[in-house]
Amino acid sequence: MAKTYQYCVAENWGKGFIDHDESWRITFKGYPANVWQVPAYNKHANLWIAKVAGAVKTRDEAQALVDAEVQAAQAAWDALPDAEKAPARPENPRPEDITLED
Amino acid sequence: MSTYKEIRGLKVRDYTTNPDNPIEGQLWYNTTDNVAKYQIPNLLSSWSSVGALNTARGVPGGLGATYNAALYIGGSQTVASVEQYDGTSWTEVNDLNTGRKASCGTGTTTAGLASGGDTGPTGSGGNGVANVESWNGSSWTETTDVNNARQGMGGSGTSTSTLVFGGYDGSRRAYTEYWNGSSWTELNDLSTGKSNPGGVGTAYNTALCFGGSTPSNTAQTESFDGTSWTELNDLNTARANQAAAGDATSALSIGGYSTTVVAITEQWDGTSWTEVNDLNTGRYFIVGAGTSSRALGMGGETSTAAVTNTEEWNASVPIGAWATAADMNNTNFNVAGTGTTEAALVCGGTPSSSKNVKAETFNGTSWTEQGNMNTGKYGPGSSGTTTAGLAFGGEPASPSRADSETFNGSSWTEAPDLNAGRESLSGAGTQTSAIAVGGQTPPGTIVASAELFNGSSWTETGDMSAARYAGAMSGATNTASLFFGGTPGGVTLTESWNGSAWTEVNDLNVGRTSLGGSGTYTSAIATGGSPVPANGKATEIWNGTIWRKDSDLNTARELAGASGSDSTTGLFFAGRTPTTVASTEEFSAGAATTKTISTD
Repeated sequence: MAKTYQYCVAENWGKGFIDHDESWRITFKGYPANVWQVPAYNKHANLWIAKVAGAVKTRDEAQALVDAEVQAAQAAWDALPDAEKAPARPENPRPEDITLED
Repeated sequence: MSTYKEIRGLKVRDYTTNPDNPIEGQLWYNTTDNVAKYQIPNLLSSWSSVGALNTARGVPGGLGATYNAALYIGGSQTVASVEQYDGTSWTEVNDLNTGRKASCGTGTTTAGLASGGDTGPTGSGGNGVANVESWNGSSWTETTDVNNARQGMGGSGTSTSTLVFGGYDGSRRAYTEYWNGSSWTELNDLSTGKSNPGGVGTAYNTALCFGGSTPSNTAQTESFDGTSWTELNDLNTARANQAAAGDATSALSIGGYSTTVVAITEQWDGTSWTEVNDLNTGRYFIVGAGTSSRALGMGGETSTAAVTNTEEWNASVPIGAWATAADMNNTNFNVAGTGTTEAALVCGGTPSSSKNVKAETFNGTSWTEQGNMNTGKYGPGSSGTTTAGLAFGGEPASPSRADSETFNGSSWTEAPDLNAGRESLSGAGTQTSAIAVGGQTPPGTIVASAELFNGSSWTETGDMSAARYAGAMSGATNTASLFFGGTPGGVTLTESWNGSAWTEVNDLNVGRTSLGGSGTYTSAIATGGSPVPANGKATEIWNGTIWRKDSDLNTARELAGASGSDSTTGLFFAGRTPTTVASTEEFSAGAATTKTISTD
């Protein structure tokens, strides 16, 4: 089955990294570890990856990068005193695993 | 062959590159790429939550030619009650003479018809009745029965020229009957017997029937020309008990039951169906009104219960887009943000576990670190500007989460404490005219209370209707502001404050907590929130009456800060993805896209 998305790693440098026109043309999903999901087989997405010098990753490679960041965030959360995290602080739940789409 | 100048009286201007700021509709020729280009607005069609029905009841009838004038008729348990929608709210009007569910509504709120239905209790599988009642804008009158008693028919037309088709009388029927204002005449049958199809049409001889139960749910679409039915292209998703709006050339199929309850919306262009944006709440036995460009989806049932939800469909509304902007100097979450997109202030929060005393300002281009607050504040409220700001509450914000501080553009000064210490509260207004609302006073006590600041002291004022924390606010003053979302539950509840009382107004479309809010009482943006990533990308625009979905953030985030003076521009910064970030995104409304004219 043809893939729906492609992934790359690119550091967000701020203004101009994603401009309004690109944001409209392309559905971006930014993830931890500077992982970006954009549509596969899409001219505008390919042009954007070239612009930001994105390092293209397979879905599994991107998933591993995201997992590492999320696990680090989970470990940091686990190390917090109970009073600093849910359920004592419902607004600070344990970071959830993220599963990237194919 | 005509030239563009002959048609429009203008020549197409050449550019070596695209013009810097093309206007909507502008056409030009790019001499570098050798292509013609034009500028069009970015559009989105979506559902917005509007005023809820007074009483939840499933299996209703319904009618309405426009999105702002509809009737919700009868319903489960042989209810006779009827409600009328005026574009803002529902009002109970006179009852049917015969209470029933699954009637077929046609016509308008001043001249309508309720045909057939079922007088048995819910789940009885009743075989239907032949009763027909006409509505004159104020009361129902029994009129001539249909020839074949049944429930769950589709319908089209007006109160004096109606077509009803399909239905259930113990079997799924293909019957088609025509009402000329005084009597019913049987016409040619549908190709297949079916109950609970969608039906639209402005006249009896321009009807469209789609979906339904045969008893397996079907995707079949048929059109009626006054004489016979013709099969057309199927729905993408087979279903029954959907709502319908529009006419035979431009229609909507809304929600329904496929293999489960669905929120799917499909749009008919006269030839084929295309999936468009889903309902906010998936439902079946939902009823519809209006046109394919502006419609209403009313009531119905979820998989568990009858609901009062009403949603308004707006097609092709210009929307904006988010772009990245400069990162903050520090990663941070559960911050407070205030100001505009060109002059924003962020303070408090935490980078991990310690409470943050740091503050930064944004000048439209970059973030600059400013003097530290005197007391770290986790989840504070804020108001004002980058040169006259106010931060209040938060944890620890000693004493007891009540601490307030003013900001003068470079440094912080202690100000009078809140009366009720709290964290994860929300704020709006200015440095000398602020409002602090909601929050929690641990351990786990959620409050609905609000306080007003006049520059020298905080005064307790009226409570919201529901205690909440981690919601968001917008508002330029402490006499006109809006509170939306929050916990418990990640609610959609929105309340407006007029300086003396809170009033419930139309809900957010996406229930969430730990979201950002910016703008005013009448022009606001609700951005991001928890849970991440599911709801953390959501953006909604408040126009003073309803929330409308807009373009998603590029990166889903919760517990971030927001600033902006209205719904046309906004800034969203810091937060968690779930890792803590320093990133910033900038919203611009009504964005446009440059398109290339294909010559292939």
